[in-house]
Amino acid sequence: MSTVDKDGMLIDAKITLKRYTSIEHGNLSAVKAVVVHQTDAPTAQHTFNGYNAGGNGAHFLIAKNGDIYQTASTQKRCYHVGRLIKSKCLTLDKNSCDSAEMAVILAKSWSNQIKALDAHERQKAYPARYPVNSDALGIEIVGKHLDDTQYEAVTPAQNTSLQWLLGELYSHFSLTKADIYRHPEVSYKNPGEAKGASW
Amino acid sequence: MRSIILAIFCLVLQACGSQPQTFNWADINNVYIADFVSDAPQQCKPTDVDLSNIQVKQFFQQAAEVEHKTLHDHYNYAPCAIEGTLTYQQQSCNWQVRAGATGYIQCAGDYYYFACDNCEQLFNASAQK
Repeated sequence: MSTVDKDGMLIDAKITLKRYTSIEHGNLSAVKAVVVHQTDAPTAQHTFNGYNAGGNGAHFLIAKNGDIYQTASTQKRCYHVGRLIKSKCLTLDKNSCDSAEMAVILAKSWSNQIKALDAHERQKAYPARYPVNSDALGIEIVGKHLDDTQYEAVTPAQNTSLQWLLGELYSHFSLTKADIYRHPEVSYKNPGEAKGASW
Repeated sequence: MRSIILAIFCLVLQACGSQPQTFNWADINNVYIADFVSDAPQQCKPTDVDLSNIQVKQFFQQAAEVEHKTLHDHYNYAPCAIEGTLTYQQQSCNWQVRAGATGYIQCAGDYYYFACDNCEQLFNASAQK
């Protein structure tokens, strides 16, 4: 079982600490969910090179061979979810949506609709809505996109490591399987991203 | 020493040769729309991306060619799109324009990805039709 140090880093022989403060953007006050991504890069090093320049990134990275790196503190917010979140009630249970307001939103053009849905959803607290950068950790799995709808397959070693890492995060942050999401579930992304990830 | 330099030069040339070159929109011709596709027909409709053949060409003209990662990190993937064929430098290619003002052109094995930050007029005009 890993431990979490005062800086929000997980201490365990299976995790290599490789923190990039350049991808941390303020504090993450609570961890309520985890979003699983794929890097769209062929190797871990490609992503590390990008992290040096700052910008978007996630808290953990799992290399092709299953090696786990922690790249940002679990106490810090990373830009990994995206600006606009989807509507959870619309995806999972339409009956639980505010039908009157939702009807007005759905009548808009797609580009106006996704902004209105985001504004509507952000009035709710998690788990009534999908997670956002301010309450979610991100795990990147190394893998390149193949085309507009597909990514490279997640390797068995990556899935084994993902399952182990999620087990640790369940314990440290009182999460359950229901709190883990693939990136395209939560925001408007290539539908193939993290498709092969299993937990 | 000379052979090492020559070998490095050849490797660099080879690496450059394997990268698709920057897209030149002026070489796009014969743009034809063939279909509309939507993974969420209730939310993303034909009116969200109702461009004409000429407007599709305008989209690729106004859009910036970007890496797929840029597209992923900074743009929204819309669940509906129009798609079709065009010719680019005498090659027959496939293209797709999504309702989120992103798109691609695929010529043989090469994908060129595009995102447009100033195409509201093209998409708004289609939404108001």
